[in-house]
This record gives sequence, C-alpha cells and structure tokens, in this order.
Amino acid sequence: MTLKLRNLSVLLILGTTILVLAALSGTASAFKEILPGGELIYPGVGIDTVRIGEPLPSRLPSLLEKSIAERRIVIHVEGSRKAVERITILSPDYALARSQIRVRVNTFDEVLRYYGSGIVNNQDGRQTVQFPTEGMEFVFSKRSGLIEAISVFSPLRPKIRIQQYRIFKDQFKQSR
Amino acid sequence: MGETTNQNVSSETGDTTQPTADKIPVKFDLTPFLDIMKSVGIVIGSVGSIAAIFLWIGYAIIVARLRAYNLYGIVRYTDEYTTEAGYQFFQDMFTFFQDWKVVLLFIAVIIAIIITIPVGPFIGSKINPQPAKGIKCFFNIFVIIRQQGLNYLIFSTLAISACLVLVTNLPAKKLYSNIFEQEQLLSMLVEECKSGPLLFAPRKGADKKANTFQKIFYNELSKSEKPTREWLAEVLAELNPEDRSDIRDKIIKFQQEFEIRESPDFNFNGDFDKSETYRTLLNIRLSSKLNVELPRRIDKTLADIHMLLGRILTSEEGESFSTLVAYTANNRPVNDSIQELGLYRENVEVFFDHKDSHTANIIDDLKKLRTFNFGQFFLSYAFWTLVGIFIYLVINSTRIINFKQWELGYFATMVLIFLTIIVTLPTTYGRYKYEFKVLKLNDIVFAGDEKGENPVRKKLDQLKSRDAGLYILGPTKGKEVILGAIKTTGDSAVNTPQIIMMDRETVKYMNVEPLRARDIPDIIALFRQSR
Repeated sequence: MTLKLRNLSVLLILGTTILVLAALSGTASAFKEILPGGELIYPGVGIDTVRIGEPLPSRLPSLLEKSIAERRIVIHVEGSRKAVERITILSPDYALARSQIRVRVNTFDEVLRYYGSGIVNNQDGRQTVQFPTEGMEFVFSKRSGLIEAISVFSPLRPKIRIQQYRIFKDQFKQSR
Repeated sequence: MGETTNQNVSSETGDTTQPTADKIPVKFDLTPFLDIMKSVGIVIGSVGSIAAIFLWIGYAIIVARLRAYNLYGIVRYTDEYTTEAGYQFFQDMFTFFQDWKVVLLFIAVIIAIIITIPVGPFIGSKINPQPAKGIKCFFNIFVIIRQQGLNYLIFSTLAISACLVLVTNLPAKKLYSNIFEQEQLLSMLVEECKSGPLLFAPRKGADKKANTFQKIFYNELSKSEKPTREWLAEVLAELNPEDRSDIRDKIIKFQQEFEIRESPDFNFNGDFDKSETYRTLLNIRLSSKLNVELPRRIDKTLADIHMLLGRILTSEEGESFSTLVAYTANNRPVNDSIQELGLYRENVEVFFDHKDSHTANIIDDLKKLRTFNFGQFFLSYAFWTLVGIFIYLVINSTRIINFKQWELGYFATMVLIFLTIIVTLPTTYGRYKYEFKVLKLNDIVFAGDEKGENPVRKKLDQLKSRDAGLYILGPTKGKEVILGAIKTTGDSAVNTPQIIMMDRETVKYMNVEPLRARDIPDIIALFRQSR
C-alpha cells in the first residue's frame, strides 16, 4: 500500500506541475476583441433602446435623439397608451439583427434570400416587401434597387376563433 | 484522524522506555510549554495566512479585471477598494447559498473533507473493525477508508478536480453553452407562437390565491377594459369581424352561443358591469390580449439575447466564446428580461388556465428558461475545497518532520494544488464575475477654475460638444480616471475612447450618477475597443 501511494504521489506532483503551468498560461491569455456595433433592429420588437408596445423611454441615447431630430428614424406612438407602434429606419447606422441588412446597403434580392418570400407591393413608384408575421416591412428605391426604409411593427399573431372560446364557455363565464 | 501517533508524546506517556531518561533527573519538563507554543504558533500562523489570503484574493480579482479591460498598468485602485473586492468575493461565496442546490453541494464537500482529510503521519492498521449493522457499519466504512489510506486518494481527487474545474475554464464554457441553449429555446418558442394562437381560460378562485403583486398584474391587464357601450361594440366586432349586423343582434348571437340567459338590452348604468355577458366578454378579451402579449414578451427576450450576442452570431471572424461571457454585466439586461418573462408566465398561470396542448407546450417550455449565472457551483466547489486544503496544510505543517518520503511528496503536491487554486479562483472570479463600479459623470467643477481655463475642463468640454459620454472608473489611487467615449459613427478620429487622468486635488466636486444596466454593455465595448 505504501509503495502504491508513493508512486501515486510522484504522479500527483507531475500532474500538478502541468496543471499549474496550464493555469498560468490561461491567466496570460487575452480575450478577442468585441467589435463595436451600432444599434440593431429586431423584427417585431424594435431597436436596442426603443421597443414596440412599450412607452418611449424618457431618456434616449444622444445618437438616437440626433437620428430622430434629423428624421433618419421615425417613431410612431399610439395616442391613448403612448406605446410605440411602429419604427421606421431610414439610416444605414442601424442593422437588422442576425442578417445585418441595412438601409442603402442591401438589395431586394438579398432581403428575399435571407427572409424568404413576403408580400410584394408596387405602389407610387416604390416597391415594398412586407413580412406581417415577422413584424417588418422594407421599402425599396426603384432607381437604385437598394432598401430605402425598414419598418418594424407588432407582428400579426394567429387569431383565436369564437368557436375555440366556446369549447370552454363555462370557464369563460365564471368570475375569477 | 485516529491513525495519528506522535512518537515524542508516546515516549513521555511511558509507552516506550528510554534508558537516558531514567538516569538524568528532569527538573523542568518543557514539553507542555512547547505544546502550548506550538498551538499558539498554529493559531497565529493560520490567522496571518487567512489575512494574507484575503488581501491576495482582492488584488488578484482587481488585476484580473484590469487585464480584461486592458487597463492594467494604467489604472491603480485604492487599497480600500481592493479590500472591498475581497469582501465581495467572500460575500458572493455565501450568497450562493440562496440556491439550495449549492447548499447541498457545500454539505457534500464539507462532509467529504471532514471524513477524508489526511492527518499525518500515515500509520494504517490491519485490524479489521468488528462486523456491525446499521449506522455502526456506516462508520466502519470510514474507519476502513482511513486505515487503508484511501482517504489520501479521495482527498487528492477532490483537490485535483477543483483545480481542473478552474484551469480548464469550465464555468465559462458552461455559461457560454447555457446562453446558446436559452437562445435556441426562445427561438423555438417564437416559431411555436407563430404556428397557432394561445388560448387561456380564466381560472376559478384565482383572486383568493393571488398575492398583491399578482393582483396588480391582473389590474394592469384589465385596466383599459371599461364596461362601456363602445367597449362592447369593439369587443364584439373583434370577435367576429365578418358580422356586419346591428350591435343588439350581435349581443343576442353571442349570448346564444355562450348560453347566457340575460336580456341583450343594457343601459350601461351599472347593469352591464354586473352582467354575465360582460364577465364572459372580459375573459375573452383578456385571453385575446395574452395571445398577443405573451408572444411579444418572448420576442423581446429573444431580442435581448440577440443584443447580448451582438455580432457574434453573424461574425465571420471566429469570435471565441470568451468574448461572450467575459463580462457579467453584459448578461444583466438579459437576465432581467428572462426574469420578467418568467414572472409574467407565473402571473398568467395564477389567473388563467391553458386548455389546449399547444398553449400548454409553450408554457412548459417557458418554465425551462433560466437566467445566466456564472459558475456558482464551480466556484463554491473550488472555494470549499480550497478551505479543506488550507486546513490540511495547517494541521500537517507541524507534523511533516515525521512524514515518510511519499507523504512528504503528497504534502508538496497539496501545496502546489493550493497555490494553483489560490491563483486561479480569484482570477476566474475577477475575470467573469466581478465588475467595477463605473459612474456616469454629469458635471465637474475644478478648484480655482472660475474662468473655465483648466486644460482638462477644455478637453472635457470638447468631448461633450461631440456628444461623448463621460464616465469615472471608481476609487482609483491618486489620480481620477475619466473615460470619454463618443459613439458617433462615421468619424473614426473621435471613435477612439479617451482616457483622461488628472490629479484629484484639482477637483472641487463632481456630479455623478449610477449607470443603467442597459448602458453597461456599451461601456464595456468601449473598454474593449481600447485594446
């Protein structure tokens, strides 16, 4: 038993030395850089600091305030609840999350390639593609073929039919 | 601990006879005095070591965090702040006990340490304990473990595993995979919500079970549902948009469908409030609201995770997981969002029942959502094992003179493991858990700067005129460090973070405010930019 433990201690010393070296090398390792990103647009949700369905924050980042003042971002607020209803982005400073699609950078084809087919409309010399269930709309310039505006709004949800409620009518009639 | 035998002590008790002791009369026996001195030495040494360890932990935490922000060598913190980092570390180790699973882990580790902690020198015994049943049999196992020296093996396994957990960066990897698991779960939930409506039916007697906050939730949900004629028309139109008939006909149709035996003629002078028709329509309306609101909140939480992940999801530059988890403060907005969603789900469940399998599946999946907590199990395990190793070293340090060669090797190994953990544990904590107290600087007044000619003031004004956010980095030593950051895109010259250092004596007062959780990721990104 003593002999076995002696061998074990030798192994332990060797192992620990390796571990210490590994630990020290780990301490020295540097993390990779996070790329600084501008604000992102989330379909059906809003942008980093302003969210659809929520009131407009009392304090906005200076860059966003500037963008609103210069009408590079238009925020539609619903009257009674003062909740944000729709955000229209006309500036290339903002990119859609994941796809990184931007105004005046990406084209109609690139949008369809990433998001699949949407509802295409041609009106007033403009082409629009709507994704109602995602809660976003793109407006394209006919001349350049690039995105002119990206709008995000509350997505269209599957509706409950009255027949579905009726199945549980007794429960719906009761008080809480 | 029963296997220990000290040769010196046993000779004094008369177990062995030494011929010289019989011949030379002993006038003063110093042995008890030496024993007391030894005990006092151990106590003083232990207290001193604990104090040194405490200071070391504070410094290691600060250095690890400064290195992560590339501020090491630029910023120095006050000794008080460094000590506070140590306090925070110990506080967190005990705060982890709020999770009962950590308490169980702590109990298991402490029991394992008490049972197996080696107290040398190892003697062993070949005497088999008496065969026993029940609890005595349980204790016999421990006796056998110690007699056979297996406690050395188990104790070293505990120590090595704690060491491995830290050096392999396991807590960070676990957090990284957890973030992606939650992202996948939420993405799946978003798709599920699109595939069909969510149907919630009111739960009977919910009002009695609900607490104050849950009642507030219900009141908020039903706040805008006032029993007016307009409301009735709106709800009926929403319920059946194709029906173009008169409102009275719609009410009759609705009452027939839901078997409500009431007059369809309401005067709205309090009669409608108390009617079964209103109650049923209100419940339907709230259910319809939840069908929109719950998926909206799921979308929002997913968007918050995507905000945290930033460009990592789409980056082509091979971002490593470490960038994702290096800054705990980044996780806070997401954790808040996940907690809010969890609370919302709980509140919904108090008042509403989910009858269909589609809604039930979504609610069940929502229950699986977890906030991101950095390695509280791993850190607790490593910390309590470190305590065990420390006790082993203290107990055995006075006995090593009697150790055989292999046991000396074992002791040396434990010293090395102790050093590894004492270096890596605070480093890991500092790198992934600890955050500096960064404050937003609103205004600053310099001593004797009535004319506003202080060069630092000019620089700060210049930064402010370019929409820069100004931040101070907490109690730094001697100098005040201000981080100026301009987020304006398009002008690369002003995008570089500015670090301004100035003598504290020149400042008369500062107006600062705490950072909002949502601002922290931006500040961290700016720190990283300076790398």
